[in-house]
Amino acid sequence: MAIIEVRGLSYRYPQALDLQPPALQEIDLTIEAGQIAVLAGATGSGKTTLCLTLNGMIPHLVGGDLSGEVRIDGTDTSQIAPADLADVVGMVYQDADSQLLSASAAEEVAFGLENLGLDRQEISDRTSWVLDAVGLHDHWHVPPAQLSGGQKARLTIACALARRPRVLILDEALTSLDPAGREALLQLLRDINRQQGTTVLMTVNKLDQELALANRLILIESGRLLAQGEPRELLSDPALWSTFSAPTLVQLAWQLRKQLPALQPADWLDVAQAERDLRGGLHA
Amino acid sequence: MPEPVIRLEALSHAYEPQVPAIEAVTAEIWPGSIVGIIGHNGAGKTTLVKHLNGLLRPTSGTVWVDGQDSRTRTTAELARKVGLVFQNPDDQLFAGSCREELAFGLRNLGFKPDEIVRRSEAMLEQMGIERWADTPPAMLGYGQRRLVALASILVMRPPVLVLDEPTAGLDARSASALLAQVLSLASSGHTIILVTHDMALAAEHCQRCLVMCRGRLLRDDATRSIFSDNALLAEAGLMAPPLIRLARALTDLGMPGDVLTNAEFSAAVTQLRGGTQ
Repeated sequence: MAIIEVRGLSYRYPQALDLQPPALQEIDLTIEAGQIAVLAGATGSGKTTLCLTLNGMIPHLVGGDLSGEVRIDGTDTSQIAPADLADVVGMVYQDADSQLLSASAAEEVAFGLENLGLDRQEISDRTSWVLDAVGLHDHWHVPPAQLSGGQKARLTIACALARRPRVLILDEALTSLDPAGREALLQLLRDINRQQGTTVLMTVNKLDQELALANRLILIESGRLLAQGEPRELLSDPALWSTFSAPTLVQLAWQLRKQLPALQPADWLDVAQAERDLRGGLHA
Repeated sequence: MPEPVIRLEALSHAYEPQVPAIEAVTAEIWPGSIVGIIGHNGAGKTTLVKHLNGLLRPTSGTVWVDGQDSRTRTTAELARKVGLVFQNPDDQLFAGSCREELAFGLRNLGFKPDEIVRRSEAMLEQMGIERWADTPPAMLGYGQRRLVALASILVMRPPVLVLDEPTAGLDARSASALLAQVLSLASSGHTIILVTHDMALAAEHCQRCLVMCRGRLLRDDATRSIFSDNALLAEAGLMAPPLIRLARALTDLGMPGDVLTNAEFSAAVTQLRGGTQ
């Protein structure tokens, strides 16, 4: 069942000049419940705008001209207040500083849980679970302002995870994490996706580690949908990748195919697979 | 004999008493080099570089910038020597248009109006942001604001340029536009310091890296040696980029373990295939 369904979505910001093209144009997309989707596009392609239509910030708080339809779990977002939608859709924004306001990391997480009306024990259990899960157990009492850039990003993700939304949107929220930290968080997202059936949507401006766990890839360019589908399918079509870069290993495989024609570049989403293929190829 | 442009002597900084964010860091950075400062999140990378332009002052130890003890210089004086681009663009953007954002720094440096226009227009174009020249930065997306913040420091061509996580939030095309600018500055003698956890960026562009770990300088070495040292990377909590991990997994087949780029990898495969045919 589609938990996110977007039909003929076009959107123009309220302050936009008449000459500027709409931020989003004629977008159609579907994400099934329980999928892990990656939304990829260049800087300024409309990724954040699209995310804001999914949690109702657009048009409810931002205004502007929206046409078409956005449905979350069957409900048209124009018919539901963002506060109610927030119980279903958890969103982590790109800019961690604009989301953190409490005196300590633990209070930051607890704040969102108090708003759900949970009891004290549940709040405390979830807070300690989530700070542990994102690697901030040593920073329980640290004021968010004293955390590093990457630690702030982890904290904003922890806040969203603790609320256990059915749809979790991470808008370039992993970009400020170091590779080992990103790998650990991706593993965590995979576990949560499996255990709780959480639908995950991550936006990226560069395709990297995220793709190895995604089962849906959506490419946008200048506010328009370029392609959507199974990641391996899209990676098998180099023509799609003229304006947007494929992951490094896939690019390497495209390059090596001249020498080793049997390579399947679309499979090169992780080092282990690339290693197996090259071992075979070099031995042959 | 050239002098190091930056010299850190037992530099320590504690935001709170008894809790050092960086501790006893001693290092030298030579003019015209491209140096990476790499380390896990919270390792102290940003704290370290904030000392270079005087935004932070040492709790103990000394920072020498261009031969002068930073304690004897004001932040304004240091900022002429060391341009720092923050990780968060909103820490530095304030002007009513992107064009003005670029012009502001040049005006402060005392450039003539026509030179200011010439330099800012060229930079807007080189960074691919000319279509937003009249737009207030606050109305742009995050990645776009990052490009403007980078351009506003690059345009001043500071002798030492420090970029804090320059590629985070940028797509591949914007990142290569930025790197082209940075590399051209380096080739004309400017010193570039890249603070990054983008290991591919460090691997491809930095000749040398300082590896930070929990506030300490763990290693100061050639980039190639750092990425061929698994024990060091593990201790620093770092992960080599996929390409390097792949090469290192295949050393038993004769793949060199110190490959840094796609081109080097490809060449090595050609050689291996030649050897077995």
